[in-house]
Amino acid sequence: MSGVKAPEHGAELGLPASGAAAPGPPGRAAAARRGRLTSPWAVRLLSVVVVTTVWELLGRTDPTVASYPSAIASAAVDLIGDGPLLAAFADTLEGLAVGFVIAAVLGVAIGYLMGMFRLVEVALDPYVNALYATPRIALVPLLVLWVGIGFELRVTIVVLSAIFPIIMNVHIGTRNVDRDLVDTGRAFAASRWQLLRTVTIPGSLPYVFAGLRIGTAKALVGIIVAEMTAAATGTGQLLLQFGRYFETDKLFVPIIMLGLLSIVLVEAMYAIERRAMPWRRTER
Amino acid sequence: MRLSLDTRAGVWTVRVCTLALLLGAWQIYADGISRALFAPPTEIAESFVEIAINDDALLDAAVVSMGSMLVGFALAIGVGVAVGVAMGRFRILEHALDPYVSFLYAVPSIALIPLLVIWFGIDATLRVVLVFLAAVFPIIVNTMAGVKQVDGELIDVARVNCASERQIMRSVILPAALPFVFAGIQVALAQALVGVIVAEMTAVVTGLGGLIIRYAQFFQTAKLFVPILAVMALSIVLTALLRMLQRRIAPWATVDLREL
Repeated sequence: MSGVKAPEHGAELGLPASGAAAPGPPGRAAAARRGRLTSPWAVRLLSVVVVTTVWELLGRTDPTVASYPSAIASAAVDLIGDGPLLAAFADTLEGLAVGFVIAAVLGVAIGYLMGMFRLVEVALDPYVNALYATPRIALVPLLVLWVGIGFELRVTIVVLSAIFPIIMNVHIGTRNVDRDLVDTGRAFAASRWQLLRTVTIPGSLPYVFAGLRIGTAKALVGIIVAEMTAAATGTGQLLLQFGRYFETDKLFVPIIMLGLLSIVLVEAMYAIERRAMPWRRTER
Repeated sequence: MRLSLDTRAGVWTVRVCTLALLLGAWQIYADGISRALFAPPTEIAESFVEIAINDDALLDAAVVSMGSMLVGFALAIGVGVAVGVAMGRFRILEHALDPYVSFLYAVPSIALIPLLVIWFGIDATLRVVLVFLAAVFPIIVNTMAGVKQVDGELIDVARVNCASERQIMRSVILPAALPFVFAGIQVALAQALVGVIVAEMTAVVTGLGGLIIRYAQFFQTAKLFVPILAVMALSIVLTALLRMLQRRIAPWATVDLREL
């Protein structure tokens, strides 16, 4: 795997090393090295078929506990046709989107400020580090007291969940900009603003995107927690409701949808990243 | 005199000033509003003495939380590294398992809580299983990535020199993969902490998460801050311990960029 400097530091911060975590095709180089025994997709297909069949057979013996694939499929059709699922999902997405945009804007700004001004860096570093390391969801009950249990709560929790990985990665990104480029810029009398625009920002973009990618994943966790613990809406509430009535087949549907949503979001971030940095092939 | 921000003294001056400013503003602001909503630092300190020093409430809760958290986390490391190495070494296994690993890695593990309650009830098993599920996938995924990126030539050299499979594993693959394994464990730690606190807040009202919920329900805001700060402190300590361990076990694996 070549040219993966940035994602490696990202790995320090929670990015799966060299993007191998992403559900994509595994390294082709490795495949060539070890030789192909069987087609990967044949193995995957076989594996999925076997697991689904076994689950179907076992699940039928005790459907309340395990449920089974065909029941889940028909529950999915019902739920999607009927409406509660899509409405709940739209609710979740709305909070997620608003919160994430706020977190991205603030997080990137704070990260660059920390990178550009030593005073800001020294003053904020301890708090950013501390909050980055702690589960911010412990703050949920406190936030309920402050902002209630409405839309604001969900947005606040999403912001808190997503912003610290973003600040952290942007900040580290500014530190990892090639010193020689900065010196060259200075030597040619570039202003602070010019230096930021032409050297620091492009040089740190890989980290910014790593931060945004981790941020999306954390934001999703944040909104589900908010919906499950305090704000009685959205997908989180649906999960609790199906769980409470032991509707196991229905319960699987939002879980699977959340998994798919998470994959789609991460893929979308990769797509934007490739768009924004055409000079750099993103390692998958 | 202008204090340089590149010296230790300068850095700490700024930090202490920031902290003093923050606490001062907090104290003044909190004095003016309802105790049900906010509490000044002095009252939080009093509550801390009350809950943590005069009483065992905080300690008991921390033991409950950390107990299930550490058991689940240890299991996740054992299973995660083993599965990750196996998937990295054997392509059939990799392809057979990667649909589930990729998918379950993507699902926010806390969304599984209602399902796990149906399966395991609401006692300690639930928390251990949840922590395990939250932590195991980042470890598997990163370990596998680490094993797969091992320089093939190193393995060939070992083989040419008649190393056994076990020797190759011990002296080539594991050391080369360790930085990745640690990266995975670090991600896993954060997720495990979230998992245990959320489980305690939603399914079983116990441990530190339970304490948080209880104080919040009775609007005991000064006390509420104590378990919240305890969760933060514990997370910071565990993260630091992990970093120390990493520097100890695999000094070549440290890419620590935050030197301050």
